[in-house]
Amino acid sequence: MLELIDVRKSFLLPNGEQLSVLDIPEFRAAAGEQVVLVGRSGCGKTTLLHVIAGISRADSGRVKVNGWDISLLSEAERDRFRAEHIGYVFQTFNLLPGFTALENVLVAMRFARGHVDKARAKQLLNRVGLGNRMSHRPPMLSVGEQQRVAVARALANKPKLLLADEPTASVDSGNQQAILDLIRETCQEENVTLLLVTHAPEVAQQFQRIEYLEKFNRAVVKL
Amino acid sequence: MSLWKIAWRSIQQRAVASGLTAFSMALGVSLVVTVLVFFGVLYQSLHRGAEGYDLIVGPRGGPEQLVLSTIFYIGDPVGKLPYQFYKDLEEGRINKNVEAVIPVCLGHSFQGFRVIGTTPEIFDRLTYFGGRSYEFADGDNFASDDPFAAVAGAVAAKETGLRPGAKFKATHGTGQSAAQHDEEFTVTGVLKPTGTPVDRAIFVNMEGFYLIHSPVGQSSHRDTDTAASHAEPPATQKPDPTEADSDRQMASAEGAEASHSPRPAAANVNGATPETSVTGAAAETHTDDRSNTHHQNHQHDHDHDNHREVSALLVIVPDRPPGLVEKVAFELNNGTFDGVQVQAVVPGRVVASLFERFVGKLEAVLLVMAVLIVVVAGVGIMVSMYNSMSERRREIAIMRALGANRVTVMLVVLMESILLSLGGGALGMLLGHGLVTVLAPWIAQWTGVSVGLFQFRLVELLLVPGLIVLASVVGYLPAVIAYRTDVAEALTANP
Repeated sequence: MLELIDVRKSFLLPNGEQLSVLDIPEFRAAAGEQVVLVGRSGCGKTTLLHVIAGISRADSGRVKVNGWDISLLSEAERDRFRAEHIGYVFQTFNLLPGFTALENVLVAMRFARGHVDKARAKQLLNRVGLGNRMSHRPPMLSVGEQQRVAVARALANKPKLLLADEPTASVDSGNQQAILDLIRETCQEENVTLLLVTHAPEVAQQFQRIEYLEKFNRAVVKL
Repeated sequence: MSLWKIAWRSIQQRAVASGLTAFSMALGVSLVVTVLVFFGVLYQSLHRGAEGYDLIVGPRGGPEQLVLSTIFYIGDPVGKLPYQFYKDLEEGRINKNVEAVIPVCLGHSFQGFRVIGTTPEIFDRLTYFGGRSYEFADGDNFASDDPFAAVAGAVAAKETGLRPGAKFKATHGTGQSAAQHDEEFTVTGVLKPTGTPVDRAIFVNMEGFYLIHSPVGQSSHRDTDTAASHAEPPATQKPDPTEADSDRQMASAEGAEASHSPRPAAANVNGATPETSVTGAAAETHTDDRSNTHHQNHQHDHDHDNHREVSALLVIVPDRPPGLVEKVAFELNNGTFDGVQVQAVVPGRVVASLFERFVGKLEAVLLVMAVLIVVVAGVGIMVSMYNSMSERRREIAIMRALGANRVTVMLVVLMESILLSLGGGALGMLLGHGLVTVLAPWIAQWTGVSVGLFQFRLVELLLVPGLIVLASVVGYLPAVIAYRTDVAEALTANP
């Protein structure tokens, strides 16, 4: 399902030096598998997710998702591929503030397919417990509710892969477990491969497969 | 969910800033609409006013002045024509193709409304606005044998309170120094509104018009016998030295008493008329009192006509064959009729020329200024959107992360600009037409043209593509910023 081979990514620093962030010889995740990536802050977790999602392009190597080598796709093709095959849950939710909860889900459908499936959007919001808050805009929702909307939005287009970047980091402790359970359950229900990034051990412990970025990212080792 | 709705949500999110920029656009567009509608009304008013008249014949001078003074009742007459020229033209001695001639005598007013001396045929023979006949809301046309009868236009009647049976005294001239005459006219009818300058005028029997020309303080004659009414030698009258030049000019058109002008044209023409031959012979051959009286009356008529003048003539020419109006105009413009040279103009053409040369240019200047205001409002939209782009980078990055490509987010920003422009434009059109509607009673009073909220000019439709082009141009810079947004960088930046 997910395959990274010899993926390298570096950034040009203001002083002209190259900062290597990713140097991953090999990484794989099977379909429907739930993997947690653990790493300290600044070790390239978010960059890795951006590369897998096609938001950023790797300097070299192959990134294959569901059989597609997205490193060979153009930017526009990566955008489309991401919309259709990959769901993304951000640490800071990244909901569109001017849109209602329902519209935040619908807009993801619009960008992926050009049309919307309102019934599925409502079903997803009901699933995350926001059936009665669909017409509310993000500022009117609690932090936990906002992350629930983000989860529903990430699953809107029936993705094969869900990337979750510290999804509980911005949520209060009371909601952290609920959000985590929600993500895992919905991925299981929809047979979605989950790659969740965290620096919190209590979150990582709940997964069968735990990968430490420091171990398979040679760029971190050099750091 | 369409991209338009996504753009609309972005506008809603910045409601105050968006509202203000759209309002500035609305003000610019309302100015454009107001200018367009006002000049449309002016154009309509001028053309309506000129319809129904085949030819206007007057003294040589400016054709615009002739048309404006004769059928729009604006400004001073060009000069005067001998009364005999009118009679010769009317009776076909000058041009066989003339069907009817209606005289127009200017120089008097009542409560600011022009009093026009003419004949009842003006309402019987002429039409207005595409062949409509003049109709009376109250009463009837004045009779030719009642010299002190009058007909009031709809607006003039409403403003002055004139109605059938009412009496009024005309004042000499139209200026502040106007002095009232002693003679009273009696209104016989009030016209229905026509939407033409006729609404704002009062028409009196030309015979009465000639009788009241006397300066204030001198008696004149209210006698149904026209000839007898002019028994007092007109040469003894002197024009009021206090009158303005224009008034003197108009006064001269009223009659010879004020002008004392010779009548070279009529003299020769009259020589061919039976009336004149009788006059010439009678001085030597008629000896009995009755004959003498008859002769004297004819002599009175002749003298009387000698001293009469008209400001202009409304000439009716048969429709067929085509081009007859132009032929008659050409013959009148290029002939000398017993020493009298005239100009004959087709009012519609003069009005079109007048509009193109003066009013059209003024409209163009005002429109350019209004369009510049719209452009400035457009630049305001650009500045507002440009300033908002830094805070919108994350929003754009989220859309990109959700799968929107660069072109899509660029389109969303351009649509936002178009919505602001068109929304502001729609509001501006409502404001502009609303303003015109509020001013409608005054416009109708000034021009006779009724305007409503939904009275559009087709050219206003150009505002739609114009605003879309403007919005696309001013939205381009913010759209390019959206296009170039680095998604990864914007997403990782602190919210």
